[in-house]
Amino acid sequence: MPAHAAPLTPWARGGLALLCALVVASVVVRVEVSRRQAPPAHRDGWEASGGPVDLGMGGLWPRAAAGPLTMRVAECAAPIAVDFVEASPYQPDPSLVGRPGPTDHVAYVYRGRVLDSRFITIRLNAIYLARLASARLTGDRMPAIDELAVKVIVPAGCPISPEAVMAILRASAPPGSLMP
Amino acid sequence: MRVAALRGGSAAARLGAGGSALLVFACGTVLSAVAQRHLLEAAQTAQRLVEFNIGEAFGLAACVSLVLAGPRAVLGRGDLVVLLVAALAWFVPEHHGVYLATTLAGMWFLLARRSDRLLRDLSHMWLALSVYELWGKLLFKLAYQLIEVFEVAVIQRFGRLLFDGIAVDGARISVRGDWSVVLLEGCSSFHNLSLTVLIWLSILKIARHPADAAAARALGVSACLVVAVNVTRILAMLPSREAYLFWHDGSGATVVALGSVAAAIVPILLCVERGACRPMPHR
Repeated sequence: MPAHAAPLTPWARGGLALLCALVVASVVVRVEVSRRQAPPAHRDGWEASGGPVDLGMGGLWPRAAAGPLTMRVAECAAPIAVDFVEASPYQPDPSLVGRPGPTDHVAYVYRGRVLDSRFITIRLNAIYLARLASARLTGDRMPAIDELAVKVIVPAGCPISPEAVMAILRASAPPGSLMP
Repeated sequence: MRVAALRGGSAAARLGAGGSALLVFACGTVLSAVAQRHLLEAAQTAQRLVEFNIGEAFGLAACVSLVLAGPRAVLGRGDLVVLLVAALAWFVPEHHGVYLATTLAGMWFLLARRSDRLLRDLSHMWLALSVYELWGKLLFKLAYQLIEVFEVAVIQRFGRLLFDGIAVDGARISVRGDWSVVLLEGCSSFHNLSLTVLIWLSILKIARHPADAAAARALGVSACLVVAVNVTRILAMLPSREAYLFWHDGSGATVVALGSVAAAIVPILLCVERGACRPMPHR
């Protein structure tokens, strides 16, 4: 192919100059940020918080009390099972915790959001990663790696919704665990 | 000096604004990711350093080779605008996120400029880099519980040949009661396989070799070797904490990383070289 040079139009030259400027700017910004930042040892975001579990709508549950429990309600003949499962992507499959019966209704509640359709595990991971990405972009505190979601197992034939179970759970939270 | 200046001038003229913009975009993306990683991210182990730099190095080498050795690139205004918009991703404060730039530009050139061979080949490289650096990792993290169960089952099957009491609990593997290893993304064969595909594609593009049946066989051989190396490494970590530290963070990790890279490179290199050195029939 003949290599005759086409004339550089002003927009092509301008585009190339802008790209070069963006390369320089992206490196300079990072060098400047790294100079101002604390040493890496003091900015590790992936830490365990040990904080209470967020039940949504201002409700908190003490981490020390975050174990499997059962709940009796008038609408259901059998008790409702509630458990606390780890919600970060690198935890074991939470669906294996507190195995339900084949016709039981299972829902997860993560920071007040109810997930009760298919691919619950993937959706839990997606919410966690979205929070992580948002924290990176906005410079907020990173989500803790030990965050917990609530797993609700409603027995078959029981008409109560996961939201109603969460309302009962929030109401029965130990004293002093509600947000001010 | 004058000769050097003339040569430099003719190279720039041959590349034109289009070729230069493509080169700046490819190099700028990798440079931004490397700067983010080394200036602002936590320190990496030697094994990760080798793997990551090798993947990026092959991807970048293939892009540069395509632009320098291929036909003169002619970019329209729309192409330059897409490159500029995509380049804004260089400022994402996360080194995987920087590869949003190659995703956007790669998708554009694949869909809008597929008739131009150079731009189509570049789009393949950029998308492969994006999958390796960003989307593959994201997919892994989203579906971790599904992928790892399968992978751990494979490791357990091979592990039974070496250890009597190998036990598995989710992604946790152990051969004794007081010590276990959890399989994360960096140690998964899934990660190594995406690196293998990137290296395979880079060598094909650099050699201008089509992705034919022989190349596909070479990729299959590489994939099997890479998985075998990784499974062996994880099994070697199981007996004790000292073994784990040696194969995960110590010199064992570097040896395994280099072994994986060799397993990814050698089969496709042999395939390409065999094709290049095949005697031509006399007419």
